[in-house]
Amino acid sequence: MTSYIPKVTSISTDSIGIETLIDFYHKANSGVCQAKLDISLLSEMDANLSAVFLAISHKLNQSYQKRCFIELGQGHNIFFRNGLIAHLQGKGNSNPYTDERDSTVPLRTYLPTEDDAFSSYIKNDFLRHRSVENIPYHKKKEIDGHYCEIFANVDQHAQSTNPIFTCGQYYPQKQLLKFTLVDLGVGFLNPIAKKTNNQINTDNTSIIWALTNRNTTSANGLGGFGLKDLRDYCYANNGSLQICSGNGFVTFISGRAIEKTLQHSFPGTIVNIIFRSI
Amino acid sequence: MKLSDIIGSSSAISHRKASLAYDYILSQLEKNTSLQISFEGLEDLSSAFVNAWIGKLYMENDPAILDIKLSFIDLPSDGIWETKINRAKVLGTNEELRKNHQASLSDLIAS
Repeated sequence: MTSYIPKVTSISTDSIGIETLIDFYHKANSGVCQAKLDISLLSEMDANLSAVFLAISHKLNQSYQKRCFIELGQGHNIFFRNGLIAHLQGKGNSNPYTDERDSTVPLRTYLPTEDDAFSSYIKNDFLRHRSVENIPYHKKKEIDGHYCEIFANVDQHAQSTNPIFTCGQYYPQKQLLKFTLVDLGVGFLNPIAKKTNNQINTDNTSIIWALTNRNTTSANGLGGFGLKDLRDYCYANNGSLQICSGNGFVTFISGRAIEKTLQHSFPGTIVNIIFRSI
Repeated sequence: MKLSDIIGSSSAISHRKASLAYDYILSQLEKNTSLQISFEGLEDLSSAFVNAWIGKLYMENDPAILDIKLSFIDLPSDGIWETKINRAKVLGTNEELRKNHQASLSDLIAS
């Protein structure tokens, strides 16, 4: 078994945390048939990133017949509570463990055909979570609509039959909610490069292009309305939106897009949203 | 007729469900029936769904006849769904617009 010990003290919802998980993916991919992410010595890993880890695990298993494990340390029982361990044990969305602290939005996977179940998850598990009880109803409706758009876009454009992976973590003391959605589709660059005759030719510029209002094509979903609207929601509500696709990593915060180019490529798209002061 | 009854769901998200709505309306129009589609009880309506349903209807049928025979009621007052519907009509009827977007609805909508 290939064991991977991250060279960081924690894995957070930022470019370094995502790059750490992508690094694990590439090392596991080039190693033997079993790979273990050893976070036992880390102070923490954001539980919403379970969606990224599970997506990586799925990809390695489906494409390369490799199995993934995670080694937890003390204080990491959140990965039982949010359902990651149940998923790794093959139990799917049925988690025998309960989140008595109510600090997680459970880890779930949904096939592109499961739009009803995804819609129910967004409404009941995400938008009725205690962390967002102060967000007004009409804004929750907007967020719900944005995620439905994203799901429809993934279904229509990701060219993938893989599930989407989604999970959240609430930090009551910091008044933060981090919510992650991952697909294993074609990402942004290739379709947009084709669409723009290679005028857009990097992952970061393709992400920004897809979220530029004048590039709205109504029926064109790459990025689509959902992501643009989520970004605008973040701009207006002190939140931030991170999008990782290929080697690109763009953080949309306070009206700005901050780009970072990752060393390794992610085989799909990761969307993180961070709600603050909720 | 409620859209939620036509598609068997309160979530109008995927183009698969949109094809149910498309087929239903087309079959009714072929019977020369006027139709009033109610959005009552519907919780989600994605652009992908609307484009694959209304956009395709307007692309493949006479818009003037559709405007007479097809109407929508019980839309939420915030105007968001109405905007999606109007966008889909424009995309369905305006070939130049589709060309400008370097994509035709037939490419974008799985039928």
